[in-house]
Amino acid sequence: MDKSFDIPTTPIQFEKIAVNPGPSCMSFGFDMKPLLNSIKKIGLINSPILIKKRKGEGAVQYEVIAGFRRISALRALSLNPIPCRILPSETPSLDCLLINLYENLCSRDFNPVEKGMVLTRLLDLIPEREVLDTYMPLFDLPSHRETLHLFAGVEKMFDHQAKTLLASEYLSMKAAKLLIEMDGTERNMFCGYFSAVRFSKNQQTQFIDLVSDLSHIENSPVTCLLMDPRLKDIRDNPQMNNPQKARALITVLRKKRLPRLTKAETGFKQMVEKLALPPAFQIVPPPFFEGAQYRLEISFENGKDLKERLQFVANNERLAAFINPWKMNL
Amino acid sequence: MAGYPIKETIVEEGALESPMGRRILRHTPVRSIRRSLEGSTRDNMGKDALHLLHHRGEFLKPCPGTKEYICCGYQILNVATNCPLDCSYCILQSYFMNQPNLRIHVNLEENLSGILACIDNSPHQIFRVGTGEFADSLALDPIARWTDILMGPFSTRKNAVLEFKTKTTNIQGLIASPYRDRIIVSWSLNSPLIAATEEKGAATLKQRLEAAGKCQSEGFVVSFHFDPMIAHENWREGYLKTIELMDRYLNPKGIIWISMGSLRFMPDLKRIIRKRHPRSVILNGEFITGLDGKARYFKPIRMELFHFMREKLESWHRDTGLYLCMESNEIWRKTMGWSPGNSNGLKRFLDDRVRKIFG
Ligand code: SF4
Repeated sequence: MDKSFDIPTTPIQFEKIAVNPGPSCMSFGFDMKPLLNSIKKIGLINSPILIKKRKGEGAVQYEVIAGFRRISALRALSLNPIPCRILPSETPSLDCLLINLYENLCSRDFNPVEKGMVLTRLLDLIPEREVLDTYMPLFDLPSHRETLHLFAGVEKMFDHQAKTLLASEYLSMKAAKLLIEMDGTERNMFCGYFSAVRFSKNQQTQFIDLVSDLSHIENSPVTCLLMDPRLKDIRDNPQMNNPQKARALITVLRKKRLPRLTKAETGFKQMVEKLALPPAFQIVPPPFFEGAQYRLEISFENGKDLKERLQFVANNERLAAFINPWKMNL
Repeated sequence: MAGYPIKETIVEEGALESPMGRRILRHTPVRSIRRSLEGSTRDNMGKDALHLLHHRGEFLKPCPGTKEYICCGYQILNVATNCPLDCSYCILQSYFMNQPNLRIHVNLEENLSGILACIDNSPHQIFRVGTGEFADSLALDPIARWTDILMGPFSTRKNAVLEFKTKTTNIQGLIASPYRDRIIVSWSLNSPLIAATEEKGAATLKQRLEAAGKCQSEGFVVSFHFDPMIAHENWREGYLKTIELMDRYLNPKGIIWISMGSLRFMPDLKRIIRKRHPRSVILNGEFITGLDGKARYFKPIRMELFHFMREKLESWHRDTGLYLCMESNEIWRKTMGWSPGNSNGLKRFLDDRVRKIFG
């Protein structure tokens, strides 16, 4: 490839440019507003790059190599013709891809779906080792095969809904990793929940994990579990906000998956309630009751106040009834 | 060969300069020999490929343990990595996913004097050494002949014992050896259901215990590890059955120790287990995140497992050197009736067992 990228611009009519992104374009799930505003304010700064199609289809004679978003914005603003740089039609596919990649890398971050698109196309054109060593670091990704195939898997296996969730951060990469191993129907059903309820990243993996575990334990398909009316009712409940729904869904599943732990958690809460401690006192259990020590937190204003509160605790007869909140089956 | 199908042997550069490497290759009816590692990333972790190479790191290393739970101060002798068996719970699946093949470190003999010097330089420390942490100690012994290489030197050291930990019946090398002193032959045991369904390629429980009985009658000290214990349906009946089998084949007086540990795993292993062993039931229990970041059973479940086993094993024989692997002081006290307090205490307890049994 000629290293100095010095191609003069040529005005091209919209109608002659393909409406869909070409194989070198890697845009997914972008917000056009900032670009529209910028073009309205100062015009087009960087002209798109096109390639002349070997075979035109109707009026369409050019495919987009870089600048698909800009062309879409210009179309929306009806700014016709568009000043474009035209590559010769014999330009190799890899060069076209790299032109797009480096042009975009200079100006923006890639979302995970876009990373998957680029990496998949690179895998078609160059050896895997080169993709790992040269291109993964460009995306701040470790040069691991597993990571590479995870991103390529997103491109190949995720449908539009799943990709949209991932690109808009409604779905974390960690959750995507779990979903990729499922079949399409299961994945779609999970995505149905993730588009209806905004889970935190942690909750996403927890939700998938709990449902998958229950599916194994109960020997029941994931799809059946996700159709459970109790879950669907929470998901579709208009009275609840997002965090409430996410918490409620996890609670229902946890209770089923971890019956003894959740029972102990409830038992602990009831025991603490029975102690009827004033709000200045808080008893904190060890995480999952794994450690041996509970913690008593006391808030106080000064030494005198603390002394009184400590005395109050010391005199609380009910404390003696505080025991580990689980039953042993010995 | 060793009962495990080896489809190819990969020989890394320099491996044939070692007598051990040459010996292995001579006695291995290889289908193909490769000198390159390209293409050796395999879905089955290369469990059918023998890989001869030089180990670049230290051979003898203390077991890393963790400060959150009480550990036993074991020393790992890293003679090989990976194993031809395929237990669903095997931690090596995550350790060695990217280091496939049955890797035998053929420079062991050249490094033996250094290993022994390390032991001899601390005459007051007892070295409890095992080869079964990154591989099954005996699965590949018919090929690697570790028993030939290691038993003599360890047998003559007063401050060390060598434990061969296995799920196989490959005891030919042991029996053929003239050495008995300071050698411990050890079997991992489980309930019959887990042994039959989750320990692919392993000998049946009965075969393991028969082999253990044979070793006892040949003058070996034996030990057992109930690790990982799994709280599956009807686990009480299952583990009791195993203890009944132990009673049938073993003399409890010749047991130096029996350890118990419940299933624990780094979160990443879960995905691998689901993928490689889709029918496995081991992940069905109630797991929480332990203080060391590993998943382990909710505390009362572990307590039930250990309490039950302690009661049954102690009613079989009171003095089997029963101990817990990677558990908390609290669980020790509540299930065993005593606690070593910390890792040093457990080390002392096990060192005393060594002195008691071997003198
Ligand atoms: S025998 Fe041990 S090393 Fe081999 S697969 Fe089973 S757990 Fe892993």
